[in-house]
Order: sequence, then C-alpha cells, then structure tokens
Amino acid sequence: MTTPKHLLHLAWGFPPSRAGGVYRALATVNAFAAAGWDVTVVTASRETFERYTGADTSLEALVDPRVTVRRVPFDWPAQDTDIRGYSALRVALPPVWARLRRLADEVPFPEASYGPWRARLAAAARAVHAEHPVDLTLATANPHVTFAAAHDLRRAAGVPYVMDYRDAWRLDVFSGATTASAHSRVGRWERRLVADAHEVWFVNEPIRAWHREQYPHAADRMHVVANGWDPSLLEVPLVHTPRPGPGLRLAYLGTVTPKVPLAELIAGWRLALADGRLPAGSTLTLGGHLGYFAVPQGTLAQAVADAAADGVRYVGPVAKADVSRFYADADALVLALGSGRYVSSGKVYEYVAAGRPVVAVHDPRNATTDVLAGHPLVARVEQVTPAEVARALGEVPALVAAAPEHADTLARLGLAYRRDAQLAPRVAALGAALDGKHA
Amino acid sequence: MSTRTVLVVASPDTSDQAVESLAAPLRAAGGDVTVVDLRAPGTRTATGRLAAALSGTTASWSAARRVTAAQRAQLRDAELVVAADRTAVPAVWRTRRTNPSAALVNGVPAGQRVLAGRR
Repeated sequence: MTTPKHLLHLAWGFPPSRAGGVYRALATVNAFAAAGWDVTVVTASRETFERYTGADTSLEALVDPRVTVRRVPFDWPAQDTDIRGYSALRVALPPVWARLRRLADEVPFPEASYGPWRARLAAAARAVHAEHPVDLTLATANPHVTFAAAHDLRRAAGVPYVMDYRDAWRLDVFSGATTASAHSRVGRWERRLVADAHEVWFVNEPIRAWHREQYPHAADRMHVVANGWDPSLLEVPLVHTPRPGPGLRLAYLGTVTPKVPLAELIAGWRLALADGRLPAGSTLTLGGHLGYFAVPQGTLAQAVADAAADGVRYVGPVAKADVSRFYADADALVLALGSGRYVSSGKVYEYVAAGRPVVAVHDPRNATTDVLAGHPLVARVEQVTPAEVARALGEVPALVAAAPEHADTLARLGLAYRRDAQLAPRVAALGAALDGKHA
Repeated sequence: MSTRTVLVVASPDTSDQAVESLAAPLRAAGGDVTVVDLRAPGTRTATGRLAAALSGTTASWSAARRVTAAQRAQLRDAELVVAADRTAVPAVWRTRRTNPSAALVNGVPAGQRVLAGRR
C-alpha cells in the first residue's frame, strides 16, 4: 500500500471567508482530498473574516472532513473598524497614516496589508512539514504573500510548489497596464517565484499569455485552470418560482466592487423601464456585499439606495446555502463586470449553470465573453453605457420567452463548466509527476 | 431590549434617502437609532485624488466641530456609535472622551455585528 501524498495548501481566504476566491480554494482542497491526498490548509483565523471581510459560516460544512485546517492569526489595521483603537494620527491625517502603514507593511514582503503575515505563514508551513512531511505546496493568490511562504518552504526543505494565480500581480487585469516593472521589488520577487515553481496556474488564457511573454523560460510550466461552478453549492436544475405579476425579475449576485459598472447599470435600468422596453413592475435584485471589506464604501450604498424607487432592491449578502433559492426567483441574470480583456468572472459559470438568460454588462473584449460564447440566451452590450445597457435589457422579455426551448443546450453547457472538470486533469498530472519523481 | 445607537453621518455626498437606508439595517438588527447629521449643506467632495484627500480630511475636522450640545448629549448616552462614512470618523473618535463605554465603530456592517453580538 502506498502512502498518500501530502498537499499543503496556503490560502489567505478560506471558509468561512465569503470572498470570491474562497470557492476556488475550497474546490481545490476537496479535489485533492477526493484524489486520495492528505491535505493540510494553512489559512487566516476565523476571526479575520468575521471582522474584516464578512463570513459565511455555511461554507465551512463544505470542506472535505479529511482536510486538516490550521489557522494563523492575521492583523489588518487598515480594515479595523474599532474607532476607539484608532491613533490620533489616523483620525487627523488618514492619508498620512495609510502611507506610513503601507511602508511598514512592505518591509517583510512587498505587498500592502499582507506583507507582515509572511513570517507567521512561513513558520506555520514549516511546522506542518515537520509534523507530516509535505510532498507539494499549492499557494493561491492574492494575496501573493502565500507564494513567498511556499518559496520559503522550498528553500528550507526542498518542497516543490504550485503558484495558483486567481488574478495577476504585476498586471492590472482591468486596465491591462503593468503595475510594477520587472526591476521593481515585486518584479524581482515574481521572477524568482516563477523560476522556482513546479507549475503556475492561471484562470484564463489572456492572463497566461501575458505571463508567458514575461517569463518565457517557464512557459511550459504555465497552465490554465479555469474557474467553474460548484455542484455542492448549486442545486441544478434550478426550480423556477412563479412570477407574482407581469414584471420580470432580474437579479445580480456577487460582490459589488467599485469596478462593477453599477452607475451605468442603474441608469440603463431606469431608461429601459421608462420607455417600456422592460415591462412595468420589473425588479432588479442585487445580492452580495457592497465592496470587499468591512469598512464601508458609501458611494455604492448610496447609488443602490437612490435606485430603490425604480425597482432596484439590495438584499445584502446571500449565504451560499441560499444561492439556489436566489437564482430560482430570477427570470434573467445580470452579469455586471469591470472592463478589461484579462477580466474573468467566477460568477459567470454559476450563471450558466443556473440556465437563465444573461444580460452581459461588461466590456465585450473581456475573457468572460468566451465562456458565454455557446450560451444561446445572452443579451450583450457593445459598450458599457446606459443606452447600451437599456438596449440589452430590452432583449430580456424575448429571451425569457425563448428559455424553455433551450433548456437542454443550457444543461449541457452547464455540465462542461463544473469546477471539478477544470481541476481534475491538473490534480491527476501533479500526482503522476510526483510519482515519477519518487520512482 | 434595543441598544441605544447613534448613526453619525457627515459626508456631503450622502443623500437623505441614503441616510435612511443606512439606518434601516441597524434598526433591523435591534438598534434604537438616532441619526446625528453633520453634513455641511451645499458642499461636495472634490474630485482628483489629492484634492479629494485634502478636502475629505478637512471636511472631517469641520464635521467634528459642528457637533452641537444636543448631539453631544446623544453621543454621550449611546451604547453604540456608528460612523456612517469616513468624514464622520473624527466626530465619533472624540466621543471616547465623554463616553468611555460605548462601542465606537466605523461602518454600518460593523455596527450590525455589534448589535448581533448583543442579541
């Protein structure tokens, strides 16, 4: 009988965190556990998510019981909401306080807020390896400090590591701009990390292509491991609750970040309602957090509140256990995303699996467009403007009427985008590669 | 029993409707909510990064100075004081002198968490 291989997964966000990247981390560790690996996760403390990003405790039940989770304390002064603990400098001159804080954070590792976590994370990784030798480390970013800890363990004990980029570090996926030069501290770190990595994963081909150009010597170790929808989080086929009136029910689910074109969406919604392109009484329900963090982003909250009179409802965060119900109450879904050809969405896979018409309110060049290419019920905008959003929303009544005849196509499309289908090939390949190494 | 909660609003960009939508979740979480409105009429946050940082900072100082005696009494008697926006933070921070026991928090979600913990 062979000894199971041991995976160390380094992830800042892990259940009960409700951040978007958590679903990928959750699915990854479950996939390795299902493939027979021993899996240990090193992540931030539960309190971190309760205090700073919001927590969804229903997610913890979805972690494979064979997975061991070790939690490391994480301090995040910039997101601390206890005003009583604020210094006079922070209150009087917040920009100065923030600048000094950032400089201090970046001493151990060039990443604001997360740099100070490197020492604790690396120590925890070494402790796991000392107790139960690790065969492979898989670090997921952002934050990228997890890569540094994986690198530290490789240097200390020779453990190979995989870098799993959910976005990019030196590339702004929205603007396409390079955020740090190759000669900067970030650039030098990334070059070293990529050079020593066993594999490097990306969520879409445009991001991989950018990195292949930057690091051609590592191109053959770079792979696309796309996101997908999680069968444990969505009950398909979804039921369709009956409409209470003549209006259509549109819905958006996801974190509303400042990159989401909320203003254009709401303005377009008002236009489409005002000129009758959408039937009177239609509603747009927004579910999810407003902003990434606990500290409020007032402009988003205000924009949503001001639109209440036009049928826009904000229902707050939706626990994962309630997601199927949320989609069941929708006739069509609105996919509002930031612009940029490198932008990928985890949510789009869930939208496909939900089997509803989709209004794609995003730059047509972004990577999500490819995922929706085979979807027969998509209303696309050519540009993210209120007029274009209104035009796309105007297609919704016809798409909703046509939905029943496309049910089989949508079901097949949904199956292709299951998360486990994306992960399984890489999990198998890594197992085989390590077997070859040990043979 | 409901928790005496003061919601401090100071950003000139916050509309009356938005103030109500900020207070509603605190009420739903069990807060007996009073709004302390420190918004300066007729002003808007400057555009541009540096100008916005400067105007935001000075606006927050001015807002803290606009607290009236009646509002100060409300802050002193509160069990929970919530800064609805960044501009309100200095006014809430000053409350620590007159009210040593209240929870002083930044943001409605943090206020909701405090209220949830007291249920």
